[in-house]
Amino acid sequence: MNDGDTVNVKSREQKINDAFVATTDALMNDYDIVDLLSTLLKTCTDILGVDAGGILLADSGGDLDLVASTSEEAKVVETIIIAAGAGPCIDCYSTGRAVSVPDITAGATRWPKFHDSAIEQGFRSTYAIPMRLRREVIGVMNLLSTTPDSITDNDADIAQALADIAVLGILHERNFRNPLVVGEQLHLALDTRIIVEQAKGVLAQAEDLTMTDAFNALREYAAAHDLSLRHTAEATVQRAIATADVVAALARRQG
Amino acid sequence: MIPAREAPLAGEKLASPFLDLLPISGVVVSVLDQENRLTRVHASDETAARLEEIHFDLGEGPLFDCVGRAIPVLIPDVSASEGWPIYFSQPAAAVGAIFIFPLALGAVCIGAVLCYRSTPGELDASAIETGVALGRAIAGPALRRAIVVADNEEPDGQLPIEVRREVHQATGMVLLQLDTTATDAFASMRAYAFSRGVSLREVARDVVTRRLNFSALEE
Repeated sequence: MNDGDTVNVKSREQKINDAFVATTDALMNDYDIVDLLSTLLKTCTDILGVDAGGILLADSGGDLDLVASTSEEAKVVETIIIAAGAGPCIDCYSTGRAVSVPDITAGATRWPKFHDSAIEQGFRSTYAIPMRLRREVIGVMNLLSTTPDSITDNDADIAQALADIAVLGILHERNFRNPLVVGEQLHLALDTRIIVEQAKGVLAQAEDLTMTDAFNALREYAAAHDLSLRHTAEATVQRAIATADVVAALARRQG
Repeated sequence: MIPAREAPLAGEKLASPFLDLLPISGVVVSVLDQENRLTRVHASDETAARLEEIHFDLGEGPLFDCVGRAIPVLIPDVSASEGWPIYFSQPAAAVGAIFIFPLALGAVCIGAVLCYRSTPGELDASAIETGVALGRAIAGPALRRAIVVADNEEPDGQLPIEVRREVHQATGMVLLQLDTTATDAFASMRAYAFSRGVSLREVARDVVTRRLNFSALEE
């Protein structure tokens, strides 16, 4: 994952720095948590050279819910969700320690469902990083790679740093001391993900889109109109904005 | 047997944050079942239970307004309220105020939390915000709990419903197919799954993969 090249390392540090600046910028302004986490996750997978990833947050019942993922495709999402049910993600969450699986093919007996799904999707190694708020684990960042490889210490530090930045993004610093506000912000992030999925369904049905295109259309429309992703998704589900207008935002970007 | 981690939170645990954090006397948590009837998950006392039961008897009342529009319904002074005359004509212990919060999974409302207070008075803005946030926080666990209470619907595989992306995507698709709201689309999917003896997840997958279209179904 890391070739140790000095120039590369420097550019990686620059990217991490950029991610931190982008997060603090977002915290100063009106921001959307699902959008911010999606961007952070993309940065993390780019820097570490892995193929897919997801950010999962724990709900009030202690189940992990996927809030952001690098791909919206059902099968990749499924692999990460299985890892959250019985796999490296839930182990990471319950122990509070990073879980590294350098060779998934060797782990058939430990998590059979996760093993089958990951292999089917072409994944060979995975890494799960705890997202901590003080001593409490609030979620997990999961990375998946198509090559068998153990993560280097340097990469592990980078992944943990980005997971920590994600926690900052979820919980505005000034609210850290109020457990009630922490809970509300967590649930708002989880609920935003649900309404985004509902809006994706509306767009997929109305405009015959894939779920990935539907998600990109929502993000583009939100950015173009200076709206939050949640607001855009809500308006789409309530049919307060025309699906054709949302899809036009995607066409503009691609065109 | 459901593994410990998957065990639905007991009804009382779902209701207690409302009593702890809001200035209220009692609370009842209710979820709509697969046939769109109220299933009580927990009532903190007899008065709360009765206030919910009247809805069940009449098929109308402020709780249905809360669920239908997925917004809080606030009645700070019951004696001065002009709405729901039939509901309030029913025999029940006198209460001062009623506040009802939706149980929301995104745009889907799966039930409501009815809080009452023995004395009248407004809820301040931060209390309303807290009630709305709590409703969002317990919606998924409450739905799971209701499924277990009803005992006639299979808890869906290893993962709870709210984690299943296809279920929410399918809800969005079905609401267009039936030209209805997210809440009604979700209820239609649950009813369909129940009547066919299949899981909600299977129905959702068929919708998302376009093997099932609700607009093509017989009434």
